[in-house]
Amino acid sequence: MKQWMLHNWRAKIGSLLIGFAIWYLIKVSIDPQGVSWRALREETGVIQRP
Amino acid sequence: MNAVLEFFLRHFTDGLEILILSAVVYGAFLYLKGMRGTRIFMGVVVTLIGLQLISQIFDLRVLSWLLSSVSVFVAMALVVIFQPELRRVVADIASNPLFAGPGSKNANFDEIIETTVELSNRQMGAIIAIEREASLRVFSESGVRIDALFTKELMLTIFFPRTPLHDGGVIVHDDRVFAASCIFPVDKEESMDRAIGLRHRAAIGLTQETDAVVIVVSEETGSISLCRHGKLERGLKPAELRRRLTEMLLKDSDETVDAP
Repeated sequence: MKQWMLHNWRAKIGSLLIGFAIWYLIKVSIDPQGVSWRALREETGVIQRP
Repeated sequence: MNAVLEFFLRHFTDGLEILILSAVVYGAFLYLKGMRGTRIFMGVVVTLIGLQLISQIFDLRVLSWLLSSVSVFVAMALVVIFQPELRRVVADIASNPLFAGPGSKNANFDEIIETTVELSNRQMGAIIAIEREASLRVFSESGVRIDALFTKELMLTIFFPRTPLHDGGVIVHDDRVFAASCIFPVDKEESMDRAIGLRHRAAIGLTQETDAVVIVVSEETGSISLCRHGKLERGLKPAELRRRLTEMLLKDSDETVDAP
């Protein structure tokens, strides 16, 4: 298992990041309230838009 | 502890979705690895996803609008630019046993090997493309149609220097020579060894686009090379040629041996 994880690890990490990015973009477009970064920011009040 | 468990249960399906998407991306990466233009393709895709992500996170509406407008044209451009690669993907799908029909039978297997060895002994340059599931008809149109039984004598005549048909490749379909003097697409990879001649580049180019198996005999050295899926195996001895051809054509094993 460890050997499998270490083999070609850059491609695996890259694929994971791309997979997450695709998932996030799709999730935001189908469920804007559920996962949106914007909603999170508005909730926490990190950035206040006029 | 409860919070961790609750978080895990809440986001289990999300994690599963991300893992599946990542596996698909990784599989696509492994499949495309080594193909011509993969770096450009991956670069364009990663840039587009990255920009889309940034515009989404920071609520950059102009960039988001621009990306959504441009993405259709980018997709069309990618299809046009990577047409040969897409053709190969389709050919691979077609050659999958699940979708494949009866397919071609290379009955005169021994004759092909015998011919290749004879061409090599006489140092006659030759390129023989053995058609498999993907049709080579489009390439046969650039040559002269023969449609004759594959025999050693015929091949030696075709590839004899200074004859009208000796320049170009031969397409073998089933146990017949379908066409001769055919022009195959040449691989334009600049990083390739300069010593590799045009015949070998044509073999790589053709096998990058189709599932054909191509045998090349060097005119300079008489060495025998075998090419499949864009991978060239050079300097094969007759016994090695027989073994690799058997693996490729009869057992239909995928390439387990990389080019030396």
